[in-house]
Amino acid sequence: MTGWHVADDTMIGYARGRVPLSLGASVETHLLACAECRDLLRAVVAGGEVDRLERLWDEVVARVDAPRPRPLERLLRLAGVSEDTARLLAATPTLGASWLAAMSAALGFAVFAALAAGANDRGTLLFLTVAPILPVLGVAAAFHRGVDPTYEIALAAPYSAFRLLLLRSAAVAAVTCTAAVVAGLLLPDRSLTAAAWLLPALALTLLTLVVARRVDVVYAAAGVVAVWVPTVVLSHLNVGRFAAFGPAAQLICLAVAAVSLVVLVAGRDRYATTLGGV
Amino acid sequence: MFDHRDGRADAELLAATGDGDRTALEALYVRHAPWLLVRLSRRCADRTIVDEVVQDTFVEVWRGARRWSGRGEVGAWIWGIGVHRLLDRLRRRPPALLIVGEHDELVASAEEEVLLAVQFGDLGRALDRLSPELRAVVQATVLDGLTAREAGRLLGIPAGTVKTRMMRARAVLREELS
Repeated sequence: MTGWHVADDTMIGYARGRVPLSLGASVETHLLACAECRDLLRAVVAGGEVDRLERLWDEVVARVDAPRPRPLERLLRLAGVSEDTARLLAATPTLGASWLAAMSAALGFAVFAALAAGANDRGTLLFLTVAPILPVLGVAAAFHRGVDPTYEIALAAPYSAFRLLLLRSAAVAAVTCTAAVVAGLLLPDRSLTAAAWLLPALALTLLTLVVARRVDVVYAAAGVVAVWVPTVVLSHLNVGRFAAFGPAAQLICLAVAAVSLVVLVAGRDRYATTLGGV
Repeated sequence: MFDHRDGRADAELLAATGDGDRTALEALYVRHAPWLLVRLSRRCADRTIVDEVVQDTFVEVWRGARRWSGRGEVGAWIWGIGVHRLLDRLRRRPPALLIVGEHDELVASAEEEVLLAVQFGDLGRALDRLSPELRAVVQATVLDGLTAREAGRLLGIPAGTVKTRMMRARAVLREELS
């Protein structure tokens, strides 16, 4: 273009990082505009770095071919979650749209029923009973082999199954609980519905995970729910109004959650194979 | 390495890349990856980071080919992506080692001296006589067109230091050239 071109020796020196700043800057500026000198540099570089450039190209192809991450995964990446963790969380089946829709429907039903029953105890009790069950079902479905499309991949992956368990459970619990908090605020008796079910939810979820070490996670969840619902109803009728959510009950829930967590952490090595009731 | 030769101009290749033509991206890679690799290596001594940045850049070219305005050199556009990807990587993982003109201490060959004198005259010599610290700042801000903040990230020094060094470099150059 300008008739000025980089001399062979200079180009070799430049490629090896052996030219002074001013000359290097001149070469770099020229390279942007001159295809001829880029070819010369490529010939000079190709001598030493062919393998490196080919390897980099292979990786570019691999990344270009990789499917675009789902919106949830991109969101998690933006929030600073590492790439592998974001992928695993995004693959959690119960964080998918269909599950979220089902959960919203269940919550909506509970809120509707509570409102329809008027501002009385029965409606509030219904909500308080249902809200802690949601994360239990969510976590159960997140690990059931019939539901989780990555079930077998997760078994074979060199990734701590325990870490995956906690990550997914926390993510599912966070999503379901957020939804339940919003729903709880819609109800008349907010003093209880706003937060009283949170500790029970935590306790039930952790308890489910503990039981799931012995039996299929779905049975574990069903069992926990089967104990939870009568406990709430009977204590409400026999012990006192909303007894299952009173101070004493909250302490019990805290204790159950703490013990479950200890048991989970103590047995974390077992999760390599036993999750989902293999 | 890659054996094919593509007769299309860079701008056409970039347009084709925007339409999802993989061979166009490959042709761009063949033409532009070598100099990008060398140019990045002059600014970052960590080979792993340079490798990642070259990959990042071409993945970005693939995804963002449609964003090219169509004005100016394709090479300059690619470099713009590359240098900012380098800054991104350095922000996440500070480099173990930085080139602060370390190779520039080597004595230039007689031929280069002549070339320099012809091409750059006093300015080139004055630039090369700057201390490595000042030279690195001049390179990052004047030649690479980075802001003081970006240059600071590249060199691992505060933005304020970039500004004071740039002022000192200007003073030295003015004195040398007067």
